[in-house]
Amino acid sequence: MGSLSLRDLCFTYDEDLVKGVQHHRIAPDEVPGEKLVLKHLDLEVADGEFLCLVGHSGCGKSTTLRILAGLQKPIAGTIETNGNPIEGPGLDRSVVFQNYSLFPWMTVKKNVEFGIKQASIELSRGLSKGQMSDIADEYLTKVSMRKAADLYPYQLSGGMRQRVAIARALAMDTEVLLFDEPFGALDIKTRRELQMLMEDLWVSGRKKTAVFVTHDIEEALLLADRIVFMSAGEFRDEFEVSAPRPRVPEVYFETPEYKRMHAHLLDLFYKAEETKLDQADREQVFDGGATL
Amino acid sequence: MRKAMKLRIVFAHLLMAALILVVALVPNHRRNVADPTAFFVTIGIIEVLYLVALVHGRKQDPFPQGSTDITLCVWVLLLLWEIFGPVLGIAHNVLLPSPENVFNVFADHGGELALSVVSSLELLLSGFFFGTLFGVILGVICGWIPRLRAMFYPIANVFAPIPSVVFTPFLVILMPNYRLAAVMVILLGVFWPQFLSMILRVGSLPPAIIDNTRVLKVSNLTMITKIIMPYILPDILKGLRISLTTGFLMLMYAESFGAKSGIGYWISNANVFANYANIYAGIITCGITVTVLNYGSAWLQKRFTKWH
Repeated sequence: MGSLSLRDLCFTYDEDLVKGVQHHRIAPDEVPGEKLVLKHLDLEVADGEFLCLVGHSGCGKSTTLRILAGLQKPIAGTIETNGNPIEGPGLDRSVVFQNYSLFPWMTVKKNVEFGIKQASIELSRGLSKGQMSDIADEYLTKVSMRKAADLYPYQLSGGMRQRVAIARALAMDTEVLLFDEPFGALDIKTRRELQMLMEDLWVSGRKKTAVFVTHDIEEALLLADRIVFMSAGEFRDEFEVSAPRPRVPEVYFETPEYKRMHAHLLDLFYKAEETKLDQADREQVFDGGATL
Repeated sequence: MRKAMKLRIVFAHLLMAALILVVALVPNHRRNVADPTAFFVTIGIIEVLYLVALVHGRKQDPFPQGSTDITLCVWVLLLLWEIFGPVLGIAHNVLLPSPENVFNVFADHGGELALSVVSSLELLLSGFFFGTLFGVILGVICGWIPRLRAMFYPIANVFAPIPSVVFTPFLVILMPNYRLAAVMVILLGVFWPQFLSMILRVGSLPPAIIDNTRVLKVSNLTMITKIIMPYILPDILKGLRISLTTGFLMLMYAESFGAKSGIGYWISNANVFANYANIYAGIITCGITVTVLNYGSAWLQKRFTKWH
C-alpha cells in the first residue's frame, strides 16, 4: 500500500510569513497569494500509480516533491501516506535526486547497501549482512551495474550514477518512490536509455507508487499513468495516460493518442509561459522591479 | 627524445664511475679521515635508490626524467665537493670538510644520530597527534553548530597565522619540562590550521548530501562515522602533509634552545664545537627524515582517499 494525498497544501519561502504562521500570528488563509510558492494544492496518488509532475522550472514542482520527501515543511495543509500524516523524512518513501544521490566515498555496492541498511533499521526488517549484500546485487543486476559494484561514483558517468541511485531507491523497497528530475542533467541518448530502464522496471517489477518530477514532455508521456501540469504554484491540468505498456518509443510516439497529448502539453507550456510574462510585466509596473 | 633520455641515464652512471675513481685516487693524507668506505657506501645507496626508481617506475615511464635529473645533480654536487675539497684543497677545510669526513660521521655516530631522530620524532609525532586530534574534533563540532562557528571562526583566523614558536618562552616557563614545552609548541602549530580547515570543510558539506542523509534518516552516530568523517578525511590528510613539515621546522627551532636531545640539539651542539662535519651530517639526516615523513603522509593520503 502506498497511496499519497495532499490536501490544501500551501508553501512559502518567506521566513517572516513562516514564523508568523508558526506562532499563530497569521492564519494560513490570510497569507497573500502572491507570496505563496504552492497555492492550496490538492492531489491524490493511488497505490501503484506512476504520477508525473510537469511544468516550467520555478513552477513549484520540485518544491512539492521536497515536501513529499519531508525535506520542507508546508505552512498549511496536510500530506498523508496511507492515511498517516507525513511529519518529516521517512523510509516509507525513497528519493532519487538529480545530483549527489550517491555518497562519493562509498563504492557503488556500499551505497546501495547503505540505503538497504537504513531502511532495514528504520522499518525493523532485521536483514543480515548477507541478505543486504544479496539484495544489493540483485538490484544492481536489474540496472546492469553489477560489474561496477566496486567502483566509486567519480569513476562512473552521470547516467551510470543515476542507474545506481535508482537501484538504491528500489532496493530499499519503500512504498513510495520520489524522483526529482533524475535525468535532467543527462544527454539525450543516456536519458532515453534510462527512461527505457524505468519503463522496464515498472513493467516487470511490483507496481510501486511513484511521483516523478520532470520538464521533459516525452519523458512524462513515456513513464506516466497520469500527468499533472503545474504552473505558478497551482495544478493547472491533469489527465490519464492510458497507452498500454510496455511503451516502445518508436511505435508509441507515432500513435495519434500520443501526438494529441504531446500537443496538449506543449500548449499548456506555451500558455503558462505567456501568463508568466504577463505577470512579470504587471509586477514590474507596480513594484518597479521583478519579484518571484 | 628517447635516445636523449638513454644517453642521460648512461651519463649519470659515467659520472658515478668518475666520482668513485676520483675518491679512490685521492691520496689518504689529503683528507682528514683515512677511510673513504662510508662515502663509497653512501654512493652505493644513492645508486641503489636510483636503480629502484628506474625499475619501479618502468611501467609508467621507462625513462624517468625527474629521478635521472636529480641523480645527475647529486653526482655533480658530490664530484665538485670532492674536487674543490680534497683534490685541489681550495675549500676551507673547517667550514667545508671533505665528503669522506661528513659521511664518516654516519659510520662513527650513526647510533647517536638515530637516537636523536627518534627523540625528535617522539616530540613531533605526539604534538602532532594531539594537535590534529583536538583540531579535528573541535573543528568539526564548531563547524557543525552555526553559533559556535560564528564565534570561533574569527578567533581561529586570528590565531592560525601566528607562528607558535613565538609562544616558546612562555611555554618553557609554563610547562613542567622542556620536552612538554616542545610538544606544546608543535601542538599549537598544528592545532589552529587544522581547526580552521575543519570548520571550513564541515561548513562546506553540500546541501544535496545533507538532504540525502535526511531522507535516509541517518542517525547522529552514523552521520559522524559514515558521512562527516569520510568527507573531512581528505582535508585532514592534506593538512597533515603541510603541517608535518612546518612542525618539523618548529621542532628544529625549539630544539636549538635548551634541549638535551634531538636532531635540532645535535646540530646546535655541533655548532658550539665548530664540528662542521657533524653539522652537515645532521642536516642530511634532517632532510632524510622530512622526506620519509612526506612519503609516509602521501601514502596515507593515497590509501585513505581512494574516492577522490
